Amino acid sequence: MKILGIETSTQKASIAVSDGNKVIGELFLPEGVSSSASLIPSLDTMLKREGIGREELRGITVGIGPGSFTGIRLGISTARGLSMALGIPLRGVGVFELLLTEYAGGAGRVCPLVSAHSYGFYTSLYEKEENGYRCRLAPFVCQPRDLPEKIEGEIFFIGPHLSRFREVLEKVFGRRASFDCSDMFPRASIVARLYESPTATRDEPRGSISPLYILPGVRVKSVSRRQG
Amino acid sequence: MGQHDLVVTSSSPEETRALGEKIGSRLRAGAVVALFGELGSGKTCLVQGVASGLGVDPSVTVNSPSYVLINEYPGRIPLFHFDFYRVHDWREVYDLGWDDYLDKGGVIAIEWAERMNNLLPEEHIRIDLQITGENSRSIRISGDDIADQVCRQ
Repeated sequence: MKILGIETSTQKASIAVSDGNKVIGELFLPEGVSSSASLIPSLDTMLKREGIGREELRGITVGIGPGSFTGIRLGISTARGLSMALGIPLRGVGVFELLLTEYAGGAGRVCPLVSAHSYGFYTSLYEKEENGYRCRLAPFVCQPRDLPEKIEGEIFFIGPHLSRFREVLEKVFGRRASFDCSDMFPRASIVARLYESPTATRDEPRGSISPLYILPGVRVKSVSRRQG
Repeated sequence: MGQHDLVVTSSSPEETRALGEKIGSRLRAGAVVALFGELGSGKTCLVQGVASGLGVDPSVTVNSPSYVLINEYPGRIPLFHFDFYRVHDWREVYDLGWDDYLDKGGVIAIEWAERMNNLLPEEHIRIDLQITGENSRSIRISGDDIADQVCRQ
């Protein structure tokens, strides 16, 4: 089943088509060029290159952030338009799920980070369990210096903007912090593959997929475990 | 209020504009100016001065973007003039493409900044305008070192 993935929450925007776990094609949009102008033409280029007709697509997954808000809005509105025009379902996945899926290491407690301009970064806390990572804190935004008061214990940081925050995080966390060294960023091939993930949100009722809005300075909430 | 606050009395729109121009000429790219004050207190007037201090073409009219929410003016440093009077939820601030403007290298002036909730960046210059008479206004500038700089003039 061919699924289209759209990911526009960072500077490296991309689109991809997957079939099950296999990535059929992935294309990165030119950086610095307005993605609004290049998203649809890039989609046509990729489908043509891979010899896929739009009518072969069975679903769309879109990255809903948090991250570059304008980028995310563009990705979602494009995805929504395509979903309506092609009559195929739309689903949304958060940027932290993407980064966690890409992360191949085994750290017990992981903080994915995405830059939030002058507000610091967006982050969350994930803990390793038997069958993968489980979200422990609802996504929030904070300045790097304020993170230690919100998170205890040893932390492994991953994400596309680590180099910007590493120095100050090393200073405030000391030995509790370690960092991923790969150049990890959210990508559309993973967005497409997460179509069947239980964490992907459904667009029901239609129009309910929207960017993740996160307000700075709000108390960090733990994600309550479902009982039973 | 901090020790670097500056309180200026303006007795006319022209004086408010002149103060805005002084402030504008000292602003650096990336500065955020948040204006607080009721309708008619001179917020737009002050931003008009800021625009001229930033080198915005004098033939361009600077109006309050109450309905369009944002106006952009090219200048020595571009000015992005926001008015959140009609904004009732901070999510609408994001919907305007707010986070893009933070990286555009311009000066951001915001009327009705109280509507932004916590989205007002930590580092900003705060200007409070108070109506003290038919034409007189008390204007308090706080934050950053801009108050000191304007004072020394």
